[in-house]
Amino acid sequence: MRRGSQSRATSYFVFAVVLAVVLLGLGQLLRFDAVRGAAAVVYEPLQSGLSSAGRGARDFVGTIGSIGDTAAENRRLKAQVADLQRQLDQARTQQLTDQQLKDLLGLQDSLRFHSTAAEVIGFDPERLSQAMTINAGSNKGLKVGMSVLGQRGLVGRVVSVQGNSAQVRLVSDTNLPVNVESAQAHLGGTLKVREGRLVVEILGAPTDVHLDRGEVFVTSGLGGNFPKGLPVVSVSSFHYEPAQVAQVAEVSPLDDLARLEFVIVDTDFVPIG
Amino acid sequence: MTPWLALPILGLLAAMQTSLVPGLEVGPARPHLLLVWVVCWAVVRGRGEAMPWAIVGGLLLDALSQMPPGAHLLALVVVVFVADLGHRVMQGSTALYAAAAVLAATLAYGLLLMAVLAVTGHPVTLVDTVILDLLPGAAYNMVLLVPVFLLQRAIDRRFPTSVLPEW
Repeated sequence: MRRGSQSRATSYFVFAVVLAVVLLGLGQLLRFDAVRGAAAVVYEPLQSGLSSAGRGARDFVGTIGSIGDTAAENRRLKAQVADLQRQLDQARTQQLTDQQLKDLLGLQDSLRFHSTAAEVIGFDPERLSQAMTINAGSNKGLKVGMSVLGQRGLVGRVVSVQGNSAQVRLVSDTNLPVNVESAQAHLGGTLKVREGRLVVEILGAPTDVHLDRGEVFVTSGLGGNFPKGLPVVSVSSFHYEPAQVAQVAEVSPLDDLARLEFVIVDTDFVPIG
Repeated sequence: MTPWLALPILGLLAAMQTSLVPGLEVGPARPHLLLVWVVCWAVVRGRGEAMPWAIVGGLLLDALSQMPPGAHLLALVVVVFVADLGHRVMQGSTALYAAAAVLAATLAYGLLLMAVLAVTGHPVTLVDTVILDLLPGAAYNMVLLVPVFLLQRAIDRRFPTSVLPEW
């Protein structure tokens, strides 16, 4: 490599490290969110197209996997089976999409609030930050703080809005604690991420507290960040710890947060402040 | 290849990373298109050409992510810098070195992002993330490397770097 090019690269490196440190330290002050908003506006059409392609790619990967299952068959039968399998996968995907949309409509009807449907068009580049982008924004009446629901319950909250898109922070993000209560016993707690696991922390629980696997926690409405009564998580495991002030139940989101394709946004409720 | 091509190519890769890649996941393994492209370019052409790509790519990922701003920029330029050190030691673009560089870069990149999260006050789960996320992702990136490396080698041969001294 040429010496000039190498020294220039070193200069670039030093510049980039300094810029990164400045952004890390002063990103909020420098209004980096405005840059993110602009990027979201520019990228929204491209992300919409690519997310559809991504779903197609997922079907293709599934089809490849299913072809592998027929490896013992002869070539002609393998081709036939693969073709049938491909058609079946397509039908299943279509059925799943239909079911998701029906579930959305069902949830929408049962909750009786004004809402807008949106397609998930982007996730964070890595899974280290729990966020996603949807293809509805201020054009559909979305505002920062509105609740976002999947097919079965709450999945997150709108954190920034552009004209045609919005960013949603998922309930699995450490920066989005949700005040909840058990649907049956009305025990209040807070949904948190602890050591990478989603838990509900219950302060001052009675000594005879009992939570069954599958019991649902709903939003309590405390704090004014979410409307009351939205289903959020279900209990995966719970063991009463007598020595602990706070009881901890391991919980799972009602929707598969990594595979969300469609969501609805509750446009009736905007948080206080 | 002209650095002006960096913006559209990296722009497309960044969009694919956020929108297309979730559909390409195999189990917990998720590829990292932009990382593989930039590290591979550092192996093939050295950091003189790869560093501007890393800066542009890092800023694009920061703009599309909800991670602390600057995290991707820092992680990407550091792994490219280190990849280039190996490039000079190995005297060029061997496939074996490219594979080693991508493997190491994927792990280093993930660890740097986690370090940034930890420093900025976000809780991280090191062991779980390495086992469930970084290692499967590194394996996927090794597979992805094959077409990327072949394409970049072809580009390198079609558009070789000038050997004239720069004054």
